[in-house]
Amino acid sequence: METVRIFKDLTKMGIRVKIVENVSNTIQLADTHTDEEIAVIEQYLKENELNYQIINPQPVEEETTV
Amino acid sequence: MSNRRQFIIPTHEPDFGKQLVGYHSRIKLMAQHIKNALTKPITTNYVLRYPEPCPADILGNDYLEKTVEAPIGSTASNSIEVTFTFLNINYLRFAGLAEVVTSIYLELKQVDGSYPGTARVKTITVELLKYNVEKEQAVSLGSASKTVNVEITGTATASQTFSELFEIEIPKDNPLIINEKLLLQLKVTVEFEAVTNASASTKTIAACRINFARGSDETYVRLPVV
Repeated sequence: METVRIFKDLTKMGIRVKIVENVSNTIQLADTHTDEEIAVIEQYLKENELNYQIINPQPVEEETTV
Repeated sequence: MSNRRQFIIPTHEPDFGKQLVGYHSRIKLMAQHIKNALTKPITTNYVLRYPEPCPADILGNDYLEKTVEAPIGSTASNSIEVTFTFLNINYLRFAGLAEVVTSIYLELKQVDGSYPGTARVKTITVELLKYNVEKEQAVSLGSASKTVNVEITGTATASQTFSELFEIEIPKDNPLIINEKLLLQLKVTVEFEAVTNASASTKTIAACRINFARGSDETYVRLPVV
């Protein structure tokens, strides 16, 4: 139930979430979020006394060919 | 007084099971699947084997898996149950705290890409049984159950594997005795479910597995020998 609540809460806050699981306690974001957005998630976790790590996918840099 | 060393002479034939594991030690029985069924003393493909590390039958299954699909806007549940039987038919006695470790795999196998679905393991139950070969009946020696609520919620497929420890007390004043007519069994039951969001257009499918032991990990029971 906890992961469902986290997913819904973060979605309401405008955070794009891909997976929340409570085996390794991980929140995997759907795409790259800014440092400010990550700070908002961390604040939410702190306020709700939740111990989860956030995986923020890094933007894929396009390769340039000469 | 004689200086000759005193020897303890057993009054009965040594038991090979006890000799192998020693007195007051623990025996770890690995839960495995064998492709060709054992036919004596009972017919089964699901066995407890030792000593560890215990290489498994390469043709046997690594796990037992079931799935469940939840209709739109609802929850559906399913369960997996498997009973492993100890192959050993020598006389053995157990008493004290038995430790059972289960290895469970949970997968969010199919889910809507926009509205999150959930795969959840709700409860795990383990039970030790004594199976009477002549009566073809099993008697429970004790069980342990946990509501774990391990879950994956998301809009993409994902999986996780986790282990859980259970303890079952075998009374010291009433040790468990097994032999060729009374066999030890371990039953593992896992209840799991899938949840599909009411707005989703794709149903959620959850898959769950009980992982069998391929070496010294995964599902096993450790018993104190007396």
